[in-house]
Amino acid sequence: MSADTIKQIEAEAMQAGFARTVVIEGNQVKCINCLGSVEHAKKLNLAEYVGSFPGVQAVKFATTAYRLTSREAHPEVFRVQLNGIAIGGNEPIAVIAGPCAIESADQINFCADQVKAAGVHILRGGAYKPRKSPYDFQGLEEEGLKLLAAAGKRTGLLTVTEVVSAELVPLVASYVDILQIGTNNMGNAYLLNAVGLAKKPVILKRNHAKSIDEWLLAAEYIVQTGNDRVILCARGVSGIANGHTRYNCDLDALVATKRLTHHPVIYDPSHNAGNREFVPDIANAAIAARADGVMIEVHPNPPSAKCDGPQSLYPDRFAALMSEMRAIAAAIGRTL
Amino acid sequence: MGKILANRLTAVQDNKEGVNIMAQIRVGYMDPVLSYSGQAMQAYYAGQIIEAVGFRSIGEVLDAQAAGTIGRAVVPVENLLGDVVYDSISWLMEFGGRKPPLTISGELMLPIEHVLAAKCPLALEAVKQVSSHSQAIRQCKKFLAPLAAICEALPNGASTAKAAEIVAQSEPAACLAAITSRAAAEAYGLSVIAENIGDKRNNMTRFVVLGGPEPMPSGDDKTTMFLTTADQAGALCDVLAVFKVLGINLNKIDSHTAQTEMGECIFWIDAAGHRKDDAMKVALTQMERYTQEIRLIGSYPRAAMPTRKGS
Repeated sequence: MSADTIKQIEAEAMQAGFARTVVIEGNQVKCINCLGSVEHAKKLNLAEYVGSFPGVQAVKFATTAYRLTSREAHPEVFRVQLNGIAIGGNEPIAVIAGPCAIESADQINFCADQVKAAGVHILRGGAYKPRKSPYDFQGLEEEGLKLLAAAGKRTGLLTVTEVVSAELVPLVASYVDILQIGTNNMGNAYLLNAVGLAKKPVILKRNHAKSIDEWLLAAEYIVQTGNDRVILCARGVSGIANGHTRYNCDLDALVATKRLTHHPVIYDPSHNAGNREFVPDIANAAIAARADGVMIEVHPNPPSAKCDGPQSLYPDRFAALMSEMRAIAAAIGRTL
Repeated sequence: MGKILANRLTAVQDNKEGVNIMAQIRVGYMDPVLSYSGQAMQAYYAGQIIEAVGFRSIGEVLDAQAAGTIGRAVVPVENLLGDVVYDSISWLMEFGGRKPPLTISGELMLPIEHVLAAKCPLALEAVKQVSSHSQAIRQCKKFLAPLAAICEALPNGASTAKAAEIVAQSEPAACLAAITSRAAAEAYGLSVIAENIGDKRNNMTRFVVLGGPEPMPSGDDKTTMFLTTADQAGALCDVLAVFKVLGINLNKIDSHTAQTEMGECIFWIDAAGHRKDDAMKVALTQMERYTQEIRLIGSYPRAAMPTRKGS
């Protein structure tokens, strides 16, 4: 469909009283989403009218609250383009690995080299750590961002880090390739809006006590700013406190969400397990459940880690896990 | 297609990339903005944010609407004094209603007050030549008859506003005058040497708007249709009887040559009511028996009659 026709349909929607339009572009189809409240009969008339335009395949009415993140908004499988790589669809499964927190130049550099050697494309590392206790290590902040950016540049790995407040978004975005919204901030609408406006890809973690619908609505906050490069990340939910795993596995949410939204969905087995003994098996299960990626914590010396040591893998175990995941990916017709 | 003079009346563009909060409908009309077509376009979309796109002739406006380069077309169809705008009607007979963007979605009655304007305050007797749109000249026949001046319609169907522009660019010694609107005369700095020169004081022109979703029934609508009657005795009478029996008032019935065979004609009917009204639905079904083809050109709310200053 020509750009002129799209512009014309957008104009018709605005004329009919919609508040705004958002175009989501795929490889085969383009979806013009009309947002706002318009009288039903008027909507029907508009649908009938624009349905007659050349190139219009279908006019549909949204049935979900998360209008733009729903598959209704875009029937194609969506690939989120990062610098040089893509996540989602039939793209290779993305592995994101690195320490929970950036502790020193040596630590992040060592980690970067190890995960790069294991075949990883994206390096993680926390610079701002919203811990349970205010007396715990809170991260190296901007110094940490500098170290992460330098390690990424040196190794050629893309970088991802968590941003914890709206004011910090421009600063964090100036250092890393991908922004992450942590589990505790999933419902922080102002922060979600701010990361949307930063025009960077975003990994949105699921809150451990929130429903899939609430998670998708959080993604909607980001997408409605015009930034559709959102990757959803499940990471376990609160449930029966059995004392052995940190959270209950929510691979069911991964499976269901991949059918509800066109956005890629990845999995974080580290926070789910809370124990490095369990991480590889859950990671393998996530690959089998068709996760578009996994995010795994790796530390050169986990017992000395300032944050989440018990769930961080030793680099050699991580390298072995990469081989396992490759085999499972091959079994379901995907690559790592 | 002719030169498009895009004239952005108002434009608001959000700075968020990919999020278009203000895409405007492109409305085509016959240039310049001071022509009666321009005035009709402005009156119809008063208070709305649109992008006005001017064309040199009615044909170009309609062709652009068919091509989809504009979203709406505002064109004149008839005048109170009996003039039918053939450029519009012959095009509508051929393409009208064939697809949704070529369907009438609204109408407007524009009061027409012609003035005679010249470069400087000439005496009427001194005017050597009067130029305008051919229809404006016809509408001022009684006024023009006693004058000594030569009356000339502008080539290519140029508007009354164009006539004012030509007079504005002429030498005062040429003693040229234009039949134009007061607004155009004022805009080009001309002197009005005679006002209200139309043969009828309450003259008005009916414009239609093509394109856009079909308006919902408002309770006071019009439905425009073109039909060819079946080749049998009394077919037109049967068609009219359907309207009579169902109590549907006709606002217009006009015949035009079908341009196929001598004697073949197409009837242009404006009936009171919306095609979704019950009576109209029945009428349209019943008329099938007495017609070869009924083509609906649109159902739209009836335009308000213009109120005139001082009347």
